[in-house]
Amino acid sequence: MSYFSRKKLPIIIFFITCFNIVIVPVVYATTGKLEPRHTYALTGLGIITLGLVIYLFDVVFRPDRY
Amino acid sequence: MRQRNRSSDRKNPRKQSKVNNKGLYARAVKDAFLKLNPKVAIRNPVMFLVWIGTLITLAVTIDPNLFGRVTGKNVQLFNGLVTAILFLTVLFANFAEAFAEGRGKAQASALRSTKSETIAKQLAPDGSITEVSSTTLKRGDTVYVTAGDIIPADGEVTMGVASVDESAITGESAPVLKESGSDIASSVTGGTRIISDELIIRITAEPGKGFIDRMIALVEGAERSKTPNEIALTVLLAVLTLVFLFVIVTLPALAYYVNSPVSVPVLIALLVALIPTTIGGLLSAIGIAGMDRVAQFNVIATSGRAVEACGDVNTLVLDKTGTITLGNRLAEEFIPINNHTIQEIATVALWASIFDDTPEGKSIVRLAERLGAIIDFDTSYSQGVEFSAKTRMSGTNLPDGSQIRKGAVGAIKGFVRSRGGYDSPELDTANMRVSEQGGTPLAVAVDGEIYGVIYLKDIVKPGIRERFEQLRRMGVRTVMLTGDNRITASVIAREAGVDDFIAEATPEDKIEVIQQEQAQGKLVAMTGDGTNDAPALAQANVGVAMNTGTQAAKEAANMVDLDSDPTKLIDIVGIGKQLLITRGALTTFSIANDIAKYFAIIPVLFASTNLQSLNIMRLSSTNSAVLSALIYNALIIPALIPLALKGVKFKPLTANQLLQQNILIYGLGGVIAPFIVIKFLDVIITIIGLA
Repeated sequence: MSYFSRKKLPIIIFFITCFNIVIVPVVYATTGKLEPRHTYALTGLGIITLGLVIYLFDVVFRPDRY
Repeated sequence: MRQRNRSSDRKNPRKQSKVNNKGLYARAVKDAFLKLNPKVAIRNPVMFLVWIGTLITLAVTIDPNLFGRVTGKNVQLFNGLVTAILFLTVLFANFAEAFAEGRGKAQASALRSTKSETIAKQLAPDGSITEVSSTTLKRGDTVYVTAGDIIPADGEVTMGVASVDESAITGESAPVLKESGSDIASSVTGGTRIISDELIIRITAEPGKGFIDRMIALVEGAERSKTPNEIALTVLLAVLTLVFLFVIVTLPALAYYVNSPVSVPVLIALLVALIPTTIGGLLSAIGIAGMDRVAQFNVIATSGRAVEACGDVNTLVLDKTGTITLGNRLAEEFIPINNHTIQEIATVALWASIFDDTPEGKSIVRLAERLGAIIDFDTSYSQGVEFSAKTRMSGTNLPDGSQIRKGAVGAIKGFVRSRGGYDSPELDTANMRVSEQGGTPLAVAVDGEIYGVIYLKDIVKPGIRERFEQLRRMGVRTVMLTGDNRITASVIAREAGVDDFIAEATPEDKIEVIQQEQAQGKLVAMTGDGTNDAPALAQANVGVAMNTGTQAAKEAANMVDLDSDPTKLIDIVGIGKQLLITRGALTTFSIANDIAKYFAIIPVLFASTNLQSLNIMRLSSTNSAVLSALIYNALIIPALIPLALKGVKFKPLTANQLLQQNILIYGLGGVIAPFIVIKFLDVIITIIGLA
């Protein structure tokens, strides 16, 4: 347990991948024209962007942590 | 031979840091790469976004079709160039911070070299000496040091008088006299060297928490935390970044609607061009450099918050002696009263001053001896009475029981009355005469009889009036505190040009003045050195303790002046203001830059639409416009590093004048400069065929 609390990055990557798999069919259904690998990449980009938005909100509301 | 070795051992931190500067660039480059670690990078929101953007463009460089099929020439080359420029942008920002930190680290390594483990001679209660390691010494232990020894830890001298070489911490090679019982000369610092005689010292610091340890931690930045101003600016930058991120995220839909699709690398390039990367990259460097500038002034600040507070100070509370006037008031004249002769007052003044080691006391002795006064009693059977802020007089108790006192006129009047004597109108006349000349009158009495007044001449420091005038223009109010009477104080205050003064002030008055000013919402700065100054130093927003001061004063203050020059407070306020002005100027410049970058990228982004009228720079192509804007964005960071480290030239102007000047230079300059440079870069890129 302590290993996972120390090593956060692998867990974050794991959750992003899982989230990606869940979102991909939605993105694929929306566009329709993309190849599956493009869909995965675009979904990943969307998740990264969402992560950055959450991170920036955290900076705004808890600036002393950074 | 031994002396030569000792002098060669002396270390001047300022000289030392110059030597270390040679490796500063190499270390900063190495640290710039180490700061790419996400754990470190995440602390800077603007540059973290650029770093993530770099990784995404790197992925698109490796596989240009990652987010969908793309057509066009040299897509991979373009993506590669965007990646390289973004990477350099992050690296330049890291370099700026690492370079600013490097100066502090160089100073810390010079200090660390003085802090080697030494063998201390610990004194047991029975008087026996045991040799122990300096690291094992605890608060309350007593040690014995003799000529040639390194003082093992911070402490107070409990016995002895000795010369101490403090050059390791102050850079000043002249030895300092340390003695027991003195309020300001009894504290010693671990790591300094005793060069004559011997001392018995009671340790006052726990291991690892001494003055040098704290200095190392501070200059190294180990205890650096963001200041309130930096936090406010970080929030502003994060909000701006968030807004631009939303703009960029919604842009593809708009571009798709107008049939002008935009690739992911171009979107990232636009995002990076729009977010305030210049100030984002230089923000921490400006703060660190501010601390460093204070350190170069031989002042150690306990936090960046203290340096920053200096910039916002509204009121300076200054001691008259040593700050406004030259510290050593000298006896100029004896004024006899009550039918006493000048010989008599000279003799009484001499007797009153034989135990007085202050410069004033010594000057009284010199003047009296010049007038032929002699001591005709056994001084070993006499007792010195030290000056205190409460009694406001000092003197000597003679072997025959007579009590001789010299001090403030009011205090001496009280002393005489308590012994059945009386004061005379002549005393008030002499007092008035000295006061009206701006001098300090000291009345002299033996038991119930007043002999006259000593005229201590006080000289206002040259140039101090102009400095107060500058402070007034900056909106800083000056309050002079003095133990002198009201007339003397008003003469000095008028001559020096202070805004207000408090005469016959006690240490308690200091804290009262500070509290009154703070109650009006003002920030107050003050200097102090004695134990009785400690509460006021702690109460002030900026408290500067003198290095010669007591341990209590140094611990209560948030800055320590290693040169013990109280006038420096005025310079420190200037440095604080310069820090805030630099931050404001570069923020203005950074945000103003966005206008040109916006006009560079947006028109060419929507090339297929009729937005070409906005392409006022007539940039040749989308790729060239993007690359030009990004190259400018990257290069402006190292170009501004010298300004961030050195600070914007400080002029004593009002806040409004400064704002107007900053908007003109950094606002207008920030709008115009990128137009010129981006156009120039576009021409170069087109000529060499990069895009």
